[in-house]
Amino acid sequence: MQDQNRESLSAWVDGELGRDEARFLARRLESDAALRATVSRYALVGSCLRGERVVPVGEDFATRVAERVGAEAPPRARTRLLRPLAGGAIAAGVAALALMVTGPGRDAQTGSTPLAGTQSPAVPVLASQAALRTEDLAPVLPLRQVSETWAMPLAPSAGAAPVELLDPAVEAYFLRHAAGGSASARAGFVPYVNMVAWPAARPATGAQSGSR
Amino acid sequence: MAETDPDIELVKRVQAGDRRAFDLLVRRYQHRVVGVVSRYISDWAECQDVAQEVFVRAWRAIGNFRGDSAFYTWVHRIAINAAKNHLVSLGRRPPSDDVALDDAEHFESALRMRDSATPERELLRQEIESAVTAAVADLPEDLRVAITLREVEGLSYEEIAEAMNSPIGTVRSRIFRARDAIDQRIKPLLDERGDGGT
Repeated sequence: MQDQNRESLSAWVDGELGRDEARFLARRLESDAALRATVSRYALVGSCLRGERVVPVGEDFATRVAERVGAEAPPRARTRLLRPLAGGAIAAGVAALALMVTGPGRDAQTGSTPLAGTQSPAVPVLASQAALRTEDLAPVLPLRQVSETWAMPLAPSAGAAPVELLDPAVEAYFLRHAAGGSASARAGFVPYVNMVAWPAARPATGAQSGSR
Repeated sequence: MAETDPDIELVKRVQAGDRRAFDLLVRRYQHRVVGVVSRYISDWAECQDVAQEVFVRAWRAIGNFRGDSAFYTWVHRIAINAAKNHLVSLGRRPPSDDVALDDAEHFESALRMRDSATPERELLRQEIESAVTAAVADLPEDLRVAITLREVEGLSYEEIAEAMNSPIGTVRSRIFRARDAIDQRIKPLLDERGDGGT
């Protein structure tokens, strides 16, 4: 074995050998058993100098490993072709989950599946597409005095007609508001809770309680 | 000249199915792997078997080695797991705590997991250490400084050339001559008693 080969080997062990020299050395190592054995000893020298805990083994160790590896199948590199597919599968799963939660089949306000025959139009009309009318700017709910609906006697006199406890329009507003609140956040009224306090549930002396 | 980490190049070749390249990786790290396994397994024959199994497992799994860590760091973890699994398979309880890579291979910190290889193997190890120490002491100063800066301090050839105010080619030659001189001291010991039979 020439000194030149061992010097190249020494530089290769240190990662200081150029590519061309390294290719030449690699070919040399394939045919030179003594040079391959030197790889092991150079590594041992380095470990001893660094104070690393090593247990020296003989040439037969690498030979037995080579025999066992020779009986093994070639290593399989992890295929990178499936990576994009895996990413796509995850994205599709997330999209499907999102559709299940907030998909078009669910009522936007209540989050529940609409009943048959009550579905919204297939193509919603955006506000910007509709012509703005003067009536649109007017309040939807007619203004009323609170006393008209809330501050009324709880115990109607005998023979009197049943009082209107709550304006249906206001009640509908509360229902919509509660539904929207419960759909967008944890707070808010439960949609199916009746907002109306019936006469029997209202305190006898309260003037405007029982709104929930 | 574009230098490359020899481990990275070897791993690439192994991943392409080059068994010769894997043999070089084995030779570069076999002493250290056996050293790690010997901390867990006292019987020398078992220790060698498990150490060989470490490399077989590395061969099987090297397709998944992405180079996020150094190759030896990866093999070191395989070695610890293989040694522990071996103990468990024998109904013995492995040590509950691992030894850090930096600590595991240094003599002083290895006391709590004492090497329990055969006395012959321990004697060989001590003889090799003594031979290396004596060989370094006998080196001319320029060679001793060069090999120390490289192996102990981990400097690159360029850094050593700057530190020693010498051309890189001279540094390369000095390191080789120092390494070769030490190798001449330990080679007879390994040839004589390093057959793994003890």
